[in-house]
Parts: sequence; C-alpha cells; structure tokens
Amino acid sequence: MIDHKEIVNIANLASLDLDDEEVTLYASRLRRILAFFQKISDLDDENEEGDADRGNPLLCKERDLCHEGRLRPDRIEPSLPPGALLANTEFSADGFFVVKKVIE
Amino acid sequence: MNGPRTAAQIAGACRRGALSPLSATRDALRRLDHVEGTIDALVHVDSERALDRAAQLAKNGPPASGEGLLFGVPIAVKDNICIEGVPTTCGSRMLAGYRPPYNATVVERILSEGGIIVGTANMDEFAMGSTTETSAWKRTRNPWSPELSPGGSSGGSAALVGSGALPAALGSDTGGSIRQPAALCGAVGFKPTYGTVSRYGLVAFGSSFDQIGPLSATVGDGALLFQAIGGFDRRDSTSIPGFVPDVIAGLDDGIDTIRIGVPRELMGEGIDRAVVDAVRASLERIEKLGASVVPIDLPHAEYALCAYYVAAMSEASSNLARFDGVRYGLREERESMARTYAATRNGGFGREVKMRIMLGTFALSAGYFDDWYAKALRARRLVAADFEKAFQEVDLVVAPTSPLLSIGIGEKIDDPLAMYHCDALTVPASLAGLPALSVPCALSPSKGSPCGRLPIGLQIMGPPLADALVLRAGHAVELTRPEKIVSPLAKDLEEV
Repeated sequence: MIDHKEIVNIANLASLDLDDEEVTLYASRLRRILAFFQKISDLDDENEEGDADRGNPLLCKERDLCHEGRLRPDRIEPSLPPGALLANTEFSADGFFVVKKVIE
Repeated sequence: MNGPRTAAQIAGACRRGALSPLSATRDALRRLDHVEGTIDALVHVDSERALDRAAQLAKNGPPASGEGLLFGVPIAVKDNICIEGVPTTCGSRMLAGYRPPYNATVVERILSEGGIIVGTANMDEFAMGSTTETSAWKRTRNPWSPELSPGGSSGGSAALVGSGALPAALGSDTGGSIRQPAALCGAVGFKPTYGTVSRYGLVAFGSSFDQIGPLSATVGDGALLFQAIGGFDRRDSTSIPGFVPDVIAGLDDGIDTIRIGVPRELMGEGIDRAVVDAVRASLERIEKLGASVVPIDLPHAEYALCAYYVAAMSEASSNLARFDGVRYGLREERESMARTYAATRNGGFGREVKMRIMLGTFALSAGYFDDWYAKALRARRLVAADFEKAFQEVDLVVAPTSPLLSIGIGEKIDDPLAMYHCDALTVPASLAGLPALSVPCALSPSKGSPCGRLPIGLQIMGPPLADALVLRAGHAVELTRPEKIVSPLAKDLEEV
C-alpha cells in the first residue's frame, strides 16, 4: 500500500530529511497504522449530508458553541516588541530574522 | 506534616492570614525536592522566582474579598503552556532553550488569582504519546510504582499531583492527555468543554481538540482551577463568547435526580476486568444516592479512535510546520533554506512526532484527502451526533477512563498502535468537544498486580457547557468511595 518511494515523497512534503534507516522504519510503521485506520473506510456515511467541515468545531456553523463573527476587524493592535520576538534566535540583524537567500 | 493540603484549603488559609504564601511555597518546594528523584516529573523549577513571587504576595497581603481564588497556592504547569521568560520546551529538543516572550492566558489568570507557578511539568513530546516516554528529557514515573508509566501526555502534571507534592497542576487534553494520566496516577483530571478555557499561549497540537484543564487531588480543587482559568478570551478565536465559569457553588448539590447513561461500547472488549468492575461498583453506589443508571448505545464509537488519530495527526502536521528553525528553537544551518528546514526538523523532532507529521501529511495530500481526512471528519460528526442523541435521554455519560489498569515503563513505546489504543475511551468526548472528568473511584484488588493496588479512574462526560454538572457528579463519586486513594509516595511524604 505505501512504499519507500512514497515515504520519501511524504517526508519531502513534510520537510523532513530522513535517512535510509528511518525511511525503512517509517514505511513499516505507517503501513501497519494505515491498515488499522482503514477501518474508517467501512463507515457508512452516505446519509451524512454536506461537507466534511461539519465535523470540525473550528469550522462548523450549526453547533451552539460556534458563533458567527469570530474574525475581528483587520485593525493594527498593540503587539509584542520586535526585540522580544527576536530574542529566541541567534540569527537576527537590524530588527529582522536572518535566513539564507531564497530567490536566486 | 499536617496542615492545609488542598488548593482550596491553602488559598483559604493564606487569605485568612493563617498561612503565609511564602510558607506554602517553601513547603511545596521541599515536597518537590523529596519526590522528584523518584518520579522525574519536572522539566524546569525556578525556586527563586517562585519564592520572590510568594514574598511579594505575602508583602501585599490577602486580596479584597471575593478575589484571590488561588492566593498562595503552588501550581505546576505543563511544559507546553507559555510562561514569559521561563523555558517552555514541549518536551522537545526542537524548543530547547525557548523562552516565550508572553504569558498564556491561563498563566495570566493563575497569577491574577494569586497562584504561584513553581515549575513546568514533563510531557510527551508536543503532547504526542500516552506514557510521557516520548519526552526528549526524561521518563516520568508513576507515584504508585516507579516501574509504571504515569500515562500521558500530561504525565508530569499527574505524577506531581499523585505524589502529593502539589495540590494541582495544569495539563492539556487533545485525545485524553489530562484524563488518562490522572486515572493512572490516582488524580482528578478535567477536560472542560472545548472553547471554555483559552488556548492562547498553548503550543498547538490539534487545534480543534486541544483544551487546557486542571489535574488535582480533589474534584473541588479541579473546579477551583477551572473557575480561575476559564472564561471568554478574545485572543482565542474558538473561545465561547460571553462564557463565565460558575462551577463551585453547586458542587455539593448532589445527583439524586440525575440520569446516567453507560455506553455498552465503552464497557466491554479490551478493557481490564478490574477497571470495569470498579466502575460498575461505583455506579451502584451512585444509584443509592438517587441517580438512575441506564445502558445506552454510541453506535459510531468503534470509529472514534481512527477518526481521532487521522484528524489530530492532520492538524498536527499543519501546526508543527511552524518549527522551521527561523524564529525560535533549534536551527541546523545548511547550504539552502529548504535543506535548513529539513535538517532542523529532522534533528529537532523525535520519532513519534515525525511519524505523526508524516501520517498527517499523507492524510492531507492530494489523492488521499477525501479517503482519509474528509472521512475522519464525517466520522467525527457521527460520533458527536451519537452523543447528542444520548443526551436527549440522559444527563451524563459514564465509562472507564483508561482501558488499562497500568502501563509498564517501556511496555508500549515501540508499538505505536498499542499506544494509540490507550486512548480508546477518552477520544469520543474529544471528538465531540464535550466536558469530561476522570475521578479516582476505587483501588484495584490486591491480587493480580505485582505493583500492588492501583487507582482506577471513572470518566464522566456531559453535554457541551454542562461542566458544572460533570464536576458535581465527580464530587459525588468522590464522596461515595469506599476508601481513601493515596499513593505510597504521598503517604511517605506526609511522614517527612
């Protein structure tokens, strides 16, 4: 069901630099876990109407707990000082995070 | 030492002036020092900071009447809840040395109620695990036996409370991470209704499931902490507008008219016999108080575990994309940014976290989304609908918390599927966002366990926002227990 090539592809999507040993380990574990998870494909949900988002309380609108208007107006409000936000990395300069050049 | 032991007693004594916050903090630090060598539950302790804060509270004196719910109460906080300037690592090398520049809302509320945070508690890495063994730092041990796991992921918080070192601690619950370790350590663990406690400052794992809640020695203290930390917060978009907790006043109101449903699906196969027997015996005692107990069905419960793991791993794969080495935490510098991201993430995350990110990435990827993630969300909706239907007939649903009486250290760590099954009884309430409490209901029989008698947790689930009723019923369970549930370590501590 899921082979080494696919594991490498997923690792790339997830930005994980796995070595060969890890690829072998994850291939075996993922196969076993996905075989168990396959159970949800037995689910008879044909009568469930609408989209899948209804299952997610972050997105659903029907539940009493969910209210409209969760998004505030896009106004600038006070935030943390830049110095405090930069304090957790040694890669900063002139008030910015420093990264390698991305666009050649 | 005899003195105030519960959070409510300590706060009351400190407010009256019968106890100084400084004495309460010194006592807690002494107790922590005594148990830590056995349970390995703390990631970070800042005695100086805690004592400074206690001295400040002592100097300012008790607050005005009606304030200071936690005045002078020493509390530990799970290592995934941000405390300004204090290392917050989520049990991961990825965040070694990270010091948040802000407080989580729950931390602000603990401080504004006069609580004293004495340290951070160990946890499974990014809360992914059920034994606290995926922590990058240490393996926490169960206060009932050092050969046993405390459960997880809030195993550090549960062990600290179960050991008697602290009256209460904060945990977080995504699929059972407060309730299951509470059950295994003989503590009370409460996952409030989704949206009643702000997630602002909680490092996200599965955002549509994550909920902060208390672990405590008594249901009363759980209610006290929830009262202190709960309520609407505009900084969390899923916080329930206008919600104000009101759970203390009615705690003693009894449950004589309450209808309790017991799902057949959560009381049968795969559950330790001693656990089922203890829960049934507890239900019989509750019936004598006047509550009625009836069997019910949750027909889609069999899909709950799969639906939970597929949905939670999908959310995790997205949430953990932020750990790229640029703004905080580990950075493994390479020749390009893409290589830097991949090397940082591979070096910073442990095995279980990487596996869950991989599974979540798979479930969300093109070609698989509909068969996995979308299907899991539909299953989630059906589990929630089962509960909605059940709550038309009954007021509360009761089941065991953990299918296992105990988990040996190292027993499940190399078998992810066996680990996931530890959450089988807690994920249904997580999928539906319901309030759910684990309360110790009995000790196991002495026969059959090489580790001696062990605590058993009973789980009470209620409809959304029925947090007060859930806690009230938990208090009734507590009052009808046939014997005290105190760990050997806690007994030992009382003699120090």
